[in-house]
Amino acid sequence: MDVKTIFFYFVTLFLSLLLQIGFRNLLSKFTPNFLLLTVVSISLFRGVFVGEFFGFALGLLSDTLSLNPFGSQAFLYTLVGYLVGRQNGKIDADNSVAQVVLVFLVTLFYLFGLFLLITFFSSAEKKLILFPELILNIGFAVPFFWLMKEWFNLWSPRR
Amino acid sequence: MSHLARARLICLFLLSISFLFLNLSLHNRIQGLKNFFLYLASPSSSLATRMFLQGENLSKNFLLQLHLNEENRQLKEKLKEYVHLDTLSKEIIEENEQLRKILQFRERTKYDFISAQVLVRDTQDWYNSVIIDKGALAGIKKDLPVITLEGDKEGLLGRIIEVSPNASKILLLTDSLSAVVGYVPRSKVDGIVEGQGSKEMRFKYILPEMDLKSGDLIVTSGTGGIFPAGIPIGEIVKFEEKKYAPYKEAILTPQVDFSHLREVLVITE
Repeated sequence: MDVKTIFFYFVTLFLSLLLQIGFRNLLSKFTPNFLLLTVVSISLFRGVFVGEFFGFALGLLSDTLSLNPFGSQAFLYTLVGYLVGRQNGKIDADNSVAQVVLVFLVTLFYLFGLFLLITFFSSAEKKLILFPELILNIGFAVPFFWLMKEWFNLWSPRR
Repeated sequence: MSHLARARLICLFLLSISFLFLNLSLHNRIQGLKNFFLYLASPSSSLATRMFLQGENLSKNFLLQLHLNEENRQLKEKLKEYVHLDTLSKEIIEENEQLRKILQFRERTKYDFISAQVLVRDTQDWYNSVIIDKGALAGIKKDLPVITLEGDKEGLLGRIIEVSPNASKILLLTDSLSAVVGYVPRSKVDGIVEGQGSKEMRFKYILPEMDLKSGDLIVTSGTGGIFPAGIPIGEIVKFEEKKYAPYKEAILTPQVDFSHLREVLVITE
């Protein structure tokens, strides 16, 4: 992996964080999980290694800014990166239906996983709220995948 | 080691680290590390907040601008309507004033007349003829004299030269083909008033010794057979004397302004 590629992933990481924080400030309550969408799309487009490393790094950064137990997001995003990354080449990444189904399954997995991790590793009470985030993620899936593809094409890093 | 096995191993390694962080967070031992990451991530957090706040302001300003544009458009349309209404109201007031004058004129005059409105006035033929909105069906006939009112005074305008059922054409006094016998009541002098195709007329065939001066009013003499006697035509403004000519001529301005013709009165009796 050359310097340009590493820089590309670093910028992507930074921008997805900006997008997430910005939207949360703007809409305050319910926002799509752009971090999760970034991990899913980058894993699907770039494969398992990039997916798990990127997921881990983004998860750690997200953990520092959230009130969830430290490591929970890193754990889940790493796992998502690995699982989705394994589908690289097996799923048609340009197919809108595939994108929506994938995002739906991954969001369900993430929300259940987060709920379990908070239950085990935090004293805070946590309710499992699926729908706003699930629907928003599905709604944003196709445009976000398109955006990410354009972003990859812009940089055209080595696959 | 295969590609997938290596990926699985790395995944397990990263998951273990995450799990370690999760365990440490139970005992609050992770705070230092969390602070360190927070220190790294905080610029992006504040930058994102600023960017999105600016974006929000921008979108609010944009919406405000759109709203103002729409409001501006509506106000302009309303203004157009008001300008139109204002013009209409001025026209109605003017028309009302004109009708009142006609009514007053009808009470004090001995003539019977039909009032009509000017329909068409050709810009190429401004001082020659006009077309009015009454014709044979209203009782108008050829050669009837036409007058108009301006303020409290009336003045001769011309005569009817063409009649159709619903419109008539007036040959104005100012047309160069127009001629009427004029009379100066002060000095009892007759002459011929001829148009010149401009706003002035000419009073001709006056003997040089005749007692005339500027400001003298000229009225119809009633001898031509078309125009009744005593209708004001115009006032003398200056004289023109030609060498070796047996007569002198005077320049007249019409008694009424021919530039603003709206209502005219066709004398029938």
